[in-house]
Amino acid sequence: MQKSKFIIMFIFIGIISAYCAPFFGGSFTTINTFDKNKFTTINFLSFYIDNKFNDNVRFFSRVTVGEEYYVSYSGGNDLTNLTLFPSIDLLFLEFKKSASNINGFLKSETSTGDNFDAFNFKAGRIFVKEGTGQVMNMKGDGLDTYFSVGNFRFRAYGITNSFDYTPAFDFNSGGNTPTFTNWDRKRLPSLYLRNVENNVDGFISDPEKQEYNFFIDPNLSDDYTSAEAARLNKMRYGASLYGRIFTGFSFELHEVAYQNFGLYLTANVDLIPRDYIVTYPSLLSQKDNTSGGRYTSFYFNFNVNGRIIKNLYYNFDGIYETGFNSTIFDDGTKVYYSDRLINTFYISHKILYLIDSFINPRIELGVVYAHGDDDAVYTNGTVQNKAGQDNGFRSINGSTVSYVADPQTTNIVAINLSGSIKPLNSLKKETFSRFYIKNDVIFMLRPVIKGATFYKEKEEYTESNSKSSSYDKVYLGTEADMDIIYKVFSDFSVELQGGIFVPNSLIYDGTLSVFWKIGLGISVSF
Amino acid sequence: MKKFVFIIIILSGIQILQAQDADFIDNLILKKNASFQDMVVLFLHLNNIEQQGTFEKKLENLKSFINKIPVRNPDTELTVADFSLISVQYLKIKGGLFYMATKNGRYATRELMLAGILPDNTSEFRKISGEELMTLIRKVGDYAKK
Repeated sequence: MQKSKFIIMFIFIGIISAYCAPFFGGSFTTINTFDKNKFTTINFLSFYIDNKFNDNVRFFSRVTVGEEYYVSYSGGNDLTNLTLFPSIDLLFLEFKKSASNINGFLKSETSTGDNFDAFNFKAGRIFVKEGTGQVMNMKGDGLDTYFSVGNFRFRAYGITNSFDYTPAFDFNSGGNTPTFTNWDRKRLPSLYLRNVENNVDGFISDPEKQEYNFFIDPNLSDDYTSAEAARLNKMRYGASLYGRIFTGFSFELHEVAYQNFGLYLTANVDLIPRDYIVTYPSLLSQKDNTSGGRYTSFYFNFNVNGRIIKNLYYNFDGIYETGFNSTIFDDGTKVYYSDRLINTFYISHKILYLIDSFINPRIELGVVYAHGDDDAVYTNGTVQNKAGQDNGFRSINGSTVSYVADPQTTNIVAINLSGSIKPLNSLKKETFSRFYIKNDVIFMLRPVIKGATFYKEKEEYTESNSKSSSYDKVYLGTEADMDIIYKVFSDFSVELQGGIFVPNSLIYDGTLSVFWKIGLGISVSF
Repeated sequence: MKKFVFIIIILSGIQILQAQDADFIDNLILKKNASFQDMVVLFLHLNNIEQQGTFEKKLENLKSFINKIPVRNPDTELTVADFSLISVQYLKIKGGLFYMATKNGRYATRELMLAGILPDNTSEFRKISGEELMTLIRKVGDYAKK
């Protein structure tokens, strides 16, 4: 049956490819990084086909295979991401009506960015980016549509990650699976766990690990009777489909006196079944690992950007986040959870100045403020709120603010000064003209002093004593980065990235005084 | 009206055609699919080379500044790949790894997309209309002047 589906799919793609003139090709990318702990290599190969039936209808599909492998300097190594089974990155049908009746060949200048459409509708596995992408910047299965009237644009979309099967093949392409809770991490079965001993069903989690686990074994815990455990284990098969649903509306007003305005409303609905919010309740000492949690959030995002004077531009992004996050409690006799209010915000402001020069210098000053929570714990990218409201900002896209330290955008203030040049830009059309160099200096602070941060702190600053709220904790460290991109040929580019992060020595508890990371990326398209 | 606009474009643009070629323009603009020969003629115009005579004679003239010319009948419908292959050589674009290795129309098309002459994601198999050919030739001429 499965084989016949593939044959039908290939015949279908073959027919529509023959019917119209397809644009097809592929790319290979390798990203290799060294940091203070390990060497990591990520390699992936993609093929795509883009069929335009006419100016209004288009079919696009892209498949990817790849792997990720790391070697730790202390001896460990693992193949963490591997798929020889092609992951379908994108697969959609698009209907659109251009604002202009002139086709792309007849325009005096061809557009290199988004084409302006009066109406657009996409269905399938699509990529959705709203505004600056700080809240929504991911792919999923669903619908996306917008229409434009003059300078006004209205957009609505709804997608889900429930059908993203790539984690099942131990492969996460592009990191597009948002992680809020342990359910997000372990919802899907992992292929490599099939060989774990005692994993009766060979299904989801490692039964020998006492972490958030879907293999519920009454022999390992008194939490469940045999009948309850059997019911929960059986339920896992269908429950794997319960991911998240993301919906949104947006209103944009473009180019009014060189200014653009956007209002974006986004909902992130967690579909975790109630039975899996808490597993192994008896393991309360490892509460962080036994809580699946439920994180449902709503975002109100306002963006304004544009030109101040010639060569001087700005971008302001303000986001209010609300919703609820499950908090696990133990009253001594039982374990229960309660949905606590999420009440937090995020602000980003950037000023960009372009200098008229043959090397195209750009200077940017940016400030990011993401509010934090004073008792939340962050583990493996998940968040567990311990008490009261959850005041820690968390966006769907899971963005980070720097290359080396790589902190998530929560409980952090990042002040970023960056500059970039194209040193040989004057050599027009020549190979060496395509050099791009960017430098960043990022100062990181903590808005909520008692809140957690992204590195291990000295014990006296994490205990509940006078130092836990010391002002020593405000400053987290400074990072300096350099990024060199050289587009050697139109289809071959090399990127060298490097940086160091110097943490606050008063609070940082580690043997190395600096974090460092060097990366080499190569990309070929064909 | 359409014809008038295109004549204005041509006259105010690269001024590649002479008055005696008005009939050629008239016919070309109305063509749903431009032919390989149409493109050859326009490139000869662009380089101020004689475009009269037989198709073989025109090809011979084209070879004076284009090294690799695909073998086509004069009435073969013009594709993006053939147009791109001639254009990239005319513009002396060195091209990417795959173009240098293959010297074919597929990767020449990519180069023209990168140069902004063709829209993104243009298939090399796509046919080009007479109107489109006129506009594309003008873009090639503009790019050559940069």
